[in-house]
Amino acid sequence: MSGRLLPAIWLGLAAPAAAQFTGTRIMIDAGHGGTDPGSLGIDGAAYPNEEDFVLDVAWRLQARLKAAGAEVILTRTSDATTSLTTRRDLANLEDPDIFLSIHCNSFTDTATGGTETYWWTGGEGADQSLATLVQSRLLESFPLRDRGIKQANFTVLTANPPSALAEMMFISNQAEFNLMSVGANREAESLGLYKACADFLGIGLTAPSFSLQPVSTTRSPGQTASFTAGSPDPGLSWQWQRQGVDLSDGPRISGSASPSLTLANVSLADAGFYSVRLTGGGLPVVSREAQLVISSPPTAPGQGNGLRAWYYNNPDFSALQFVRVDSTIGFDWQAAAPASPMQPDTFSVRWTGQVEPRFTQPYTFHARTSDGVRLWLNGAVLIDRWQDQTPMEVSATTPLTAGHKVDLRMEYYDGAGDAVAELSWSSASQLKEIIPASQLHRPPPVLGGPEEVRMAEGGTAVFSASVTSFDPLLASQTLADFETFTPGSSDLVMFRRPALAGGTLGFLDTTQTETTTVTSILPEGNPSTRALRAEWTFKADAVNPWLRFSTSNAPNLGNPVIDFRKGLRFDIWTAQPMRLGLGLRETNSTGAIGSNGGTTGTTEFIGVPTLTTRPEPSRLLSPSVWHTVDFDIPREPVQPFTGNGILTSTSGKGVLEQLALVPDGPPGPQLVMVDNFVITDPNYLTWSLAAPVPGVAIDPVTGAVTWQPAAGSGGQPIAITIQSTDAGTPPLTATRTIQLIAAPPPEILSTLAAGGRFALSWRSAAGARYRIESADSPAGPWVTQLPLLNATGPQLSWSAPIAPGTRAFYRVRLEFQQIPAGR
Amino acid sequence: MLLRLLICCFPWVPGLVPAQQTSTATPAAPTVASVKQISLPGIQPSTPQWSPDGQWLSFSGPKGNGIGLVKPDGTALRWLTREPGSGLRHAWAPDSTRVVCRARTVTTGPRRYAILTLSLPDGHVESRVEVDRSALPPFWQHGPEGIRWISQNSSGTPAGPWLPCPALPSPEEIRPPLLPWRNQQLGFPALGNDFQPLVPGRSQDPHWNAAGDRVVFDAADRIACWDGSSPQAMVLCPGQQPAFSPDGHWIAYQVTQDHTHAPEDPAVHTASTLPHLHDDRTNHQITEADLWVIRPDGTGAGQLTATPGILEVEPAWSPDGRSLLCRLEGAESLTILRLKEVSP
Repeated sequence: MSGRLLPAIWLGLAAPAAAQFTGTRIMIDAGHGGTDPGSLGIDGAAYPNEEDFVLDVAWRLQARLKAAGAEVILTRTSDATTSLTTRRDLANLEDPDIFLSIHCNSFTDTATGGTETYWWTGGEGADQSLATLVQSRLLESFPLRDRGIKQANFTVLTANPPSALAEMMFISNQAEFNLMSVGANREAESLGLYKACADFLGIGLTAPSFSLQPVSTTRSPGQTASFTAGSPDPGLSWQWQRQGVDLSDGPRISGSASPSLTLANVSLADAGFYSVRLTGGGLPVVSREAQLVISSPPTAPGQGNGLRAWYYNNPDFSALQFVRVDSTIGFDWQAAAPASPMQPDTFSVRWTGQVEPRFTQPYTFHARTSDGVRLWLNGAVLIDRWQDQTPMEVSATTPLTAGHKVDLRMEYYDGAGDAVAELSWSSASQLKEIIPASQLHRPPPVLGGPEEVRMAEGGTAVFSASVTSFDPLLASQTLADFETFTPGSSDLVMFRRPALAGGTLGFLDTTQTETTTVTSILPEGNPSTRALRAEWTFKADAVNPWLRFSTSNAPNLGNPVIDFRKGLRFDIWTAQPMRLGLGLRETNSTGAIGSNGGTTGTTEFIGVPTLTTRPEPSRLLSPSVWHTVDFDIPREPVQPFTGNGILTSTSGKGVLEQLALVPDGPPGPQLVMVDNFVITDPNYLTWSLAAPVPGVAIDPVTGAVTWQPAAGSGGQPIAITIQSTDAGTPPLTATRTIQLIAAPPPEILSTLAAGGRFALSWRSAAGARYRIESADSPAGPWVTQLPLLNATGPQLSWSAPIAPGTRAFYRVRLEFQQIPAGR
Repeated sequence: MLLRLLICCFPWVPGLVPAQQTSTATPAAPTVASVKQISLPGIQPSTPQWSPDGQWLSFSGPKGNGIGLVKPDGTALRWLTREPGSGLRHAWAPDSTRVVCRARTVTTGPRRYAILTLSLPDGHVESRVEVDRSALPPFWQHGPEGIRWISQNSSGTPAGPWLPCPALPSPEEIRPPLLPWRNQQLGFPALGNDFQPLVPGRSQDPHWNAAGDRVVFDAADRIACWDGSSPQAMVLCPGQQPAFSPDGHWIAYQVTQDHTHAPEDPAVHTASTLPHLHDDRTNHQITEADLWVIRPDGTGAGQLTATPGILEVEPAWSPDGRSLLCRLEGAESLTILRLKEVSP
């Protein structure tokens, strides 16, 4: 039933002196009501339904029109049954300037949606004009599907005044039902109808202006807070709001309908955003929001320095351009690109890390972006507005605990036009601000793996913690993406033709096609618009062929300088199975990354564990898919080409001389495409134990833990804490504590052969697994008696039938196995 | 524009309640003996009326624009006026020589009105009085000095001059009295500024009996009657658009049904649809309308028409009380129901 949807936030407004609707009479027909609920909502619940939604919109529209001086008549003002003929008769009698019937639509197919407005089939130009204006203004309020204006023989439309029937949206559609369920949206619909009325009556709407906006303030509990606004326009109504809800005067609140609002004896519950709505003869206008902050003792300030940021040249997070740490998300790039070499439009950014609140309070996150934005907190979607838009702020609230970091991920794209990406926060004690760097942290390493490891005394267990998540790149810089080169440019960019490959020329069949060309025709999986394509043919009789795909003296980006202390990432596609290594020239270059480092110096193979008559790279590329490959140069295996098998550089830099492309299939025609070369600064973890433990060692590079429980050590668990620290600044550390439980050898406690059965019992360790084996002689062979037995206590027993007159030997073995994680 | 006129006469229409089915021990309610339809091509009329001398049928044009005339036999169709808004509640003078109406003087934007007195048969404007937008449609009063039109607005009761009306016996007092109407409520007459509604809630469409001492009206989709003998009007039955018979013994009215949200046919629902959802296009229209009669004391209710799919509305008695004029919702015609029996 109706009633609960009616906050009536517009009631009680006095008509201002300069009301623009003065002298007009408007009749609002809230459809249905009483015994007729109208269309049912998609949820099928008793409430709210069409009768409730439309009455609420009618009340809001009535309040707007009355405040602007109109005489307003509602065909129903409550949840009452009123016949269509009575509504029509009343309209005829009152003869308003506008008769507006408000409805919500419905259809059996829940996918149907949109806005439509009706006028009578026997109607006149005025009816059509009204319907057109209503439709236009409703779509302005909510750009749903435009179902157009339509004619129908609806009873109320035959009324004498200019009449229209608006079907605002389909409440049989889940998304539109959700929209209609929000009071602010019904307010927006009422504003659209209000504007349509003004349009029809030829009333030019104007909004009053502010000469003084309210400002944010901080108060301690118990103090008095006040906000003041001003306007040069006369005859206005003032209404203060907190968080969009009208305030009224009370024991602690005064001036709620005046230019100055005062709140006495404030508490945390008063914190929030305050604004004042001015209503004059035309459009209402709301002031800027001012925040009332109630001070609370903060926790110690955070030690963060920002979030990991990944910048992509396409709006779908493809074509990575660079990775960096952004101290805050507070960017207004306007029409410019975030940084060279990115394009100014159609790019995307992903920020990841953690946010550390200062107070234990509900926090509101405000994402102001143009265009789309998505925000996750602790893996849950908090904001999702993935659409083109002018700079718009979307807010959502979630409770947080002071000092407890929570995972944060924000994704953003820019379509066309200005680019804005800002992430702010506020709470009862937190003034709204761009979240500062001190409260933002890079993504820390997170460790998983076993909680317990069990091993027999005298055995050796090797295990490691697993890395659940990680900040993989500390920085990156684009080397080449070929986007600015004209397709068809042959032998021009970064890599030369296969035939200009020095010693590997002999493997090639130069009678066949042999080119290196920038192309705009890319296989699926790479959204770039350009890539470099190389085509050649290995001779059919070539023995151990390979191609030195060289950058030597290419006219553009030839002999590119790279940093031997960092990584190299690029995308590659091959038509045939291929193994891939690098050839780096030790030029001791000092030039900028990507500059021409020349051809002086010896060359080493990188990512090549072994060398035969050719390099034998370990990276195998499956054919016909794009691969993103990473070479962590300082940590790759090295083999000599013209050098000594040790990669050196006095400057730390050198030249990317070649890709070593080794066929992993038959010789013959080959096709390779490469794209998106990026210099990376890969993160890595260093492993250690928080405290030394006898018998336990950890490899600082791989994190492998070796544990050898000594004889007699079984019984009590030992806790070890593994530490893993990344290479970022500041370094981030993760720990994982693992229980080590040594099991003693099984000790036979008793044996019994009687009644055709043989039984034995032994001392066991809870959680350990034991295997019973039998044999005809002590020399074996030993046969396992299934099933294996898991001990739950200090003693375990087993029995089996035995035939009279037979002889058998039994033994109990402790299984040497560790207990997997999540047991 | 020259309007063509088609006349269709039906001796009987199936579905109308026959006389023999409504006979009771008490004097019988009137029943329909025959039906005649008067076709009005291109015109969906509303608020039809009968001239007091029985010579003319009048009606409002679509959207209230204009007053049309046609003879009861379907001939002589014409427009008395095409003034915007003039059709609503136009009022015949008791001698059938004039019609008074309220017409809009502007067609867009905030309303302004004039009271027009039109003479028959050519629609000559005898008088034109500008009134403000709060003025209600005028009606005729008669008294010792003759007849005059009178209206009500927020500040008073604009009225025309008294005109001689020899056909009427001069009553000793002015009839009918004014019923104040505020905030969609009819109030007691002559109570000064102390407005007191006749019934709680909304009330509209008053219709006085010929003697001017009893009024029937629509009280929120119910028929109510007030005779001045008590402070409260008596609610008789559900219905709208009541009209007293000339002898004051019967009230004709309409009963409509709408807002049908019958369960959808399950056949239209598929796996992707939900049974509680319906097609809204079936909505917003009257689904049934019939005419009834009842006595002013609430007894003797009888259904005149029972015609599914034919929507009779807005009844108006003939001066002799032997016929009812009405219209069919959405039809380009008027309908005359010839009554078989009218007994007190």
